[in-house]
Amino acid sequence: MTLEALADVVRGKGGRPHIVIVIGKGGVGKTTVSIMLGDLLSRSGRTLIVSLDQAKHLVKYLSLRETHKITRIDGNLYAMQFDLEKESKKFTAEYSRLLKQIMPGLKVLNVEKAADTIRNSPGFEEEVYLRYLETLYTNKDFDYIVVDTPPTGVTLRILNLPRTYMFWLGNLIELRTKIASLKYSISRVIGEKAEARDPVLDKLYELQDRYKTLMNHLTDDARTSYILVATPEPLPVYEVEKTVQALQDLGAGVTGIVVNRIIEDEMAKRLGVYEVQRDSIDAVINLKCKGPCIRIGIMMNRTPPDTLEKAREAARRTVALAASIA
Amino acid sequence: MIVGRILREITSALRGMAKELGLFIFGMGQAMREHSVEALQLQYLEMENAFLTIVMGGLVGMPFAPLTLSMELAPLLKEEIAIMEKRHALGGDLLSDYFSSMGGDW
Repeated sequence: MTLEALADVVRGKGGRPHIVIVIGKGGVGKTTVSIMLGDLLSRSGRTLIVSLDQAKHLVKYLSLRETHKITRIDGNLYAMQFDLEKESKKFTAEYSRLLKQIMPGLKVLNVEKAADTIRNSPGFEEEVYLRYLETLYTNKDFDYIVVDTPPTGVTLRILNLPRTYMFWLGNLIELRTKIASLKYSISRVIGEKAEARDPVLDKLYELQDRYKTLMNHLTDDARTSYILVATPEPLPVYEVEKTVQALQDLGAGVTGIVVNRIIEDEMAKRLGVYEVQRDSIDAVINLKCKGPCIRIGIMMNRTPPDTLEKAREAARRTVALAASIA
Repeated sequence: MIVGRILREITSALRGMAKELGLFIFGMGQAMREHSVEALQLQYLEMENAFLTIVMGGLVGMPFAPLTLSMELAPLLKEEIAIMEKRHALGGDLLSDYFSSMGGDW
């Protein structure tokens, strides 16, 4: 089983665009795996590799001239380095304009410095990421979108956000229904024109639908594949185990696990890392996943695969770690 | 003797008047100072309220909704925001706020 087999599994899934989310600890090779997979998928359809990771390795690897702009790399392969700073500025400007418009008198809450306040609010960055991720599902320009994510902790927080929103929306709808019903009753009693519809309640239901759809996309195997990446070391593998569990809690399965930078046995013995590497690979092989999950390894090379050509060459050095576990 | 006593009384009365005048001027000054910071005091109280709500809100069951939801709903909440601002303005005089809410002439 090689990376090509993993790409085949992704190709066989229905939804277009199909989103492939690549998750792993910082520095394990998420960007490299994203490039390899994106390159393979681009042979079957227009493919975009988007890196949300602000380490911005994609810019270097694919020699992108600027961030936040889709660039054609080769054939059907396109790439974009998401720029959190640029996207945040766009949102904060939009939000502060809105706040100034609707609350000109609330200077006591420092609304005139709204942009700074919003940008430094807890969870703001995750929200910006999620909004972008949401737009990918409605993108009509690509058949496959490979998303190279920020380190695991941030990614899992992003993926959990819709669930948090749904919780909040449920509570707000309950409260707003009581308010709307009270308002309606009062209007009827005092003989004013009673509005049965409450625009705020309508908006809350609309948002609930929106996040429900996003949650469905994120957990639908036909729309989203999750690929986990680790190096054969205890901590990255431990993070993979935790991620499998977190995705399972979310209701999503894992399509594949890639163990990157495997050192050849003889060399590993000479370096004294053979046991650690063997145990880490065994842990990945024995990991229980929800549904079929392909496990593959990529052998380490002397030079890092930091260009498209080198990534293609590295993709040919993939090895099977275990057969699919149903 | 009598002249001396009258002079002492006049002096004492004058001193008393001067003292009263001094207190009056001081009181006027104090009242003007207090009047001049009335608006600032109101702002100070509101800032204290806002600060306390922001810092302690979570502990008394007033957690803040996620930013996205707040911003999505904000354009539809103009009326509610106007009511909130009005209540802020009346916040210093709870009794009149209460009576006015009951309607009629008080």
